[in-house]
This record gives sequence, C-alpha cells and structure tokens, in this order.
Amino acid sequence: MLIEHNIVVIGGGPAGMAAAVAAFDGGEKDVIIIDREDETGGVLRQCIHNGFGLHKFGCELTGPEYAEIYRNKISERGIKLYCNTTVVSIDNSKTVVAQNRDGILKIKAKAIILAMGCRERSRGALNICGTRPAGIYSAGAAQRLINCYGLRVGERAVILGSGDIGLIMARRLTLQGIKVEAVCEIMPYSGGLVRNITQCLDDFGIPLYLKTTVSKIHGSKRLEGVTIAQVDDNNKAITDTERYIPCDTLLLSVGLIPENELSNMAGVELDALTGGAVVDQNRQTTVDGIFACGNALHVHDLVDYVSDEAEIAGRNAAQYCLRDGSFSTDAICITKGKNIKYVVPQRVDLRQKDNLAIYLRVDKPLGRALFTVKTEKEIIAKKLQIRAVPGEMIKIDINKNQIERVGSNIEISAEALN
Amino acid sequence: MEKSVVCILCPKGCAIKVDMVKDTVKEVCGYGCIRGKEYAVSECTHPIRSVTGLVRVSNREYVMLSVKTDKAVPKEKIFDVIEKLNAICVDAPVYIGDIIQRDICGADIVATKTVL
Repeated sequence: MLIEHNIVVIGGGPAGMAAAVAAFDGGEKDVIIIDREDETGGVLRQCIHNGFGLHKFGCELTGPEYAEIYRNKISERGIKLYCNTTVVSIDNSKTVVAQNRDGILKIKAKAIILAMGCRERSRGALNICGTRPAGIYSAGAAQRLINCYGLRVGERAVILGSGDIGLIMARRLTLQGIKVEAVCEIMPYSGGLVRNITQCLDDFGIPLYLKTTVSKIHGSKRLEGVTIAQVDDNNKAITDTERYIPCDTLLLSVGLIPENELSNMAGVELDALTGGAVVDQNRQTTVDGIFACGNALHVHDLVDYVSDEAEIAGRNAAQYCLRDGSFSTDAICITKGKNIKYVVPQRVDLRQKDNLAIYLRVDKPLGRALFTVKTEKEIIAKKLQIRAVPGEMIKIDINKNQIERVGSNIEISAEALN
Repeated sequence: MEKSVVCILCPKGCAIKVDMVKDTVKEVCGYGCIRGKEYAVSECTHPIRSVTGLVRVSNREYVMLSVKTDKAVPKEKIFDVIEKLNAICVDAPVYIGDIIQRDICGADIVATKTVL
C-alpha cells in the first residue's frame, strides 16, 4: 500500500513531537509521526525525575510531564500517529518503508524529519575483561526496567560512567533500596551536570572515583563482583591500584550514540564528531528535504534544547514543502578549532537572512573561557563563558549582518582564561 | 564559617558561597538568580528536596505510576517519603495531576503520568 504524506517524522520522542508541532504550526498540516513504541514520549517516559522544562516552560517538570505537554499539542492539532510501527528504510527520494502488525506501510513523503534519538554504548564497546554473567545493564535499560515496569534489577551495584544517566540512576537505585557502592569515571572529571553530582551522589554519600574504571568482571551465572582500578594518562588500568568490590549489578553509563542507520540508507552525510548528520542552520541534511534534530543529530544534555532544535527542523521542513527550500550549494562551513569537540550546524546556507545560533561542546573542562569565531581574515564574534565543560552545550549567537558580510568559512575556538 | 553550595535549581549549577555565623546566614554571594540565593540559604539552614518516585498499580501488570511530591520536603525525610510510596497501591485509571495521597511529610503526592 503506497500512501502519501507531506512530512513524515521518524521518532515520537521529544524531538519528533516538537518537530511535528512546529511543522504543523508552520503551515504544513499533513504531518505524521512514526514511533516504534506503543506510546510517544521516547526516553522521557522513563525519566521520572524532575528538572525538565526550566528553559522552555519556566517550571520544573518530570520527564513524563514534559512529554504530556507535547502529546497534548499533537492531539489538539490532530497530527496522525503511527505507534508500534518501525521504520525499516528510507531513501533519498523520500520513500519511507515501515512495518507494524497490519503489515508493510510505504509512504511517499515530501520531507522527512529524522528524530530517532540515540542509543547507549554497550559493554561490547568497552573491552572489559572477565566473564559474561547476568546483572550487567546499560544505565538506561535499568532505568526502564525500574521506572516503567517496576522490576528490581539487583541488590548491590557499581556504576561505570558519571554522565547524567549514571548519576540519576545512582540516586534512583539508592531510593529503590539498592546499595550503590561506587560510581567510577575513567576521565578526570564527570561528564554530568554539577547539580546532578550534588543531588544524586553527595546527598546520599555515594563515592565518585575519578580516573577509575572497571578492569574486570567476575561471576558465572550472576555478577559476583567487579575489580576497579585507577587509570594512567593513557586510560590503562594501573594494576597496583586494583580493588575488588562485591556486587550483583553493574550499570554502564558510558556514552550515547546517535542512531543513524536510516540516515545512512538515504545517503545522508554524517559528521564523525557528532555521530549525527551534517546539517545547515535549518537542520536540513545534505539530502534535499531530509531534516534532522534531537539526539539523532547530536547528543544533548537538556531536553529543552532538543525541543528548540526540533522546532527549527520542523519549521523549515514545512517551509521546504510550501516553497522551494532545497539544500544550498551556496553554503559556508563552520569548523571546530582549538578546544572544541564539535559544532552544529556544520554549514550555513547564505540565502537565509536570520541571526545564526551555533551550538558546540568543548573537548575538556576549560573553566572560564573565551570563544572566538573567525574567518581566515578576521574575528567576527567573541563570547565569554563563565564555565565551559564538555557536559554542557554552549550556544553562540552571530549577527546576520556579520554572516552576510564575511561569506567565507568560519572556525570557532576556545581559550581557557586563567 | 563559609559554606559552598552548588545550586541544583537549574542546569547552570552556580557555585554559591554562604557566610554563616553559627546557624545564621550573614552573606550570600555567587548566585545567578534570586531563587538561587534562596536555595543557598535554605541549603545551609534547612535543606529541602523534591522527591520523585514510583507507586504500584494494583490492576496493571508491569506498570508503575510515576509520582512526585508537590513541594520540596526536608532532605532528611526523603527516605520516609519513599517508604510511604512503597506502601501505596492505586487502581487504574489514574490521570496525570491526580493527587494520590495527601500530606506525606508535608507534601501531597501527585501522579506524573496517566495510566488508563
């Protein structure tokens, strides 16, 4: 069965929902969302803690509440949802093939918005030696088992990785009566927000060991313990520092990877630095009419920023359908300079006459830092940031006049101040 | 005595310094907003936290109802709140915003999702 829809949004998480709403409000009413779960909301469904929505709604919401706001916006607009439906392929002619209990759906779209989110890095990517017992979970999987299904994952846990999910899970396990023996972080700093270290670890006296990793996993059927060790400057475990911790549960919070198998199928160019698509400021990828946003584009620290970004993608997908908005070959590149991990967008369509917002991450903690945006010839913008750490995305605004005037590639770099 | 407080009210995580003489706040600096100043004072005098948690649903298998306290409770009461939540069992349907139980450690327990 071939059906037609103007905009197909792939993924009904925070990005997909916000993109669909923005596309609809931008004038393109024929928008659908496809999601593989039985309900929209994505990862927000399992994020029962609060702290969402401060930027977007000025109040502190839990994940399910944040999702509910967008669910209501979608039903108010009558945007059609295909839940329990998995997209199996897309191509550059914007044909979407999806599968659900009713069979195969083939949808011809004018524009596609990629909002598939990200997935967790697994044990296999870490090369931890030892056995393969039960009791090793990625932090998000454990979060879902506990918060959505009410299952008990273990009794005594060690958490590897101190990103926000690891920290949030340290608190959740503690609240659910599971003893958290340690949070280990291979880097010399935590990748999570400072406030999460305070309210998730310090509040409960959970120790955070920096420059420390899990060097061995023990146990046959069920995990019996882990060996932790400090690491040297090459991240190699130092044998003398090895220490055994008995535990039946190990949570891995060791990074998120944007999900882009579908993007690849359509020939969308990916950025090795973000793991997501290369986009211009409209969040259009290198394939005409395919847009990307949310954690599928790059991993965000705050859902509020995901919503903002998805709105850009949604608005511009609507514009693309309503009038010609094809990908510009007349674009300049934005590249990362010193101390920068990545930048989004990577390209700027010079036909656009709006102010430009560039999002970036630094590659190590810099403290107080000065950001410089420059062309080969001159500096076009500077920004002083009180605290620049890899865990927090930084936004730099550039005036439209500056962009119009320079018309050449630009590079962003950061310098730590004292 | 000077106490250091990391503000948890927003992701900025301001590093706030509070100058205390015995149990009285003398001076607060380093806050990014007025809420942060209030938080720092509260953190040094009577720390409070909002609590989010889970409640069982009697007539649904493998479904938990996520809930929150409608206001922050004293930090030392966090585990009391959790213990009370563990003892609650509700019947679906429950709607987001429903009050599940009143006055647990001074706060009402509110559903943060709908279970039909």
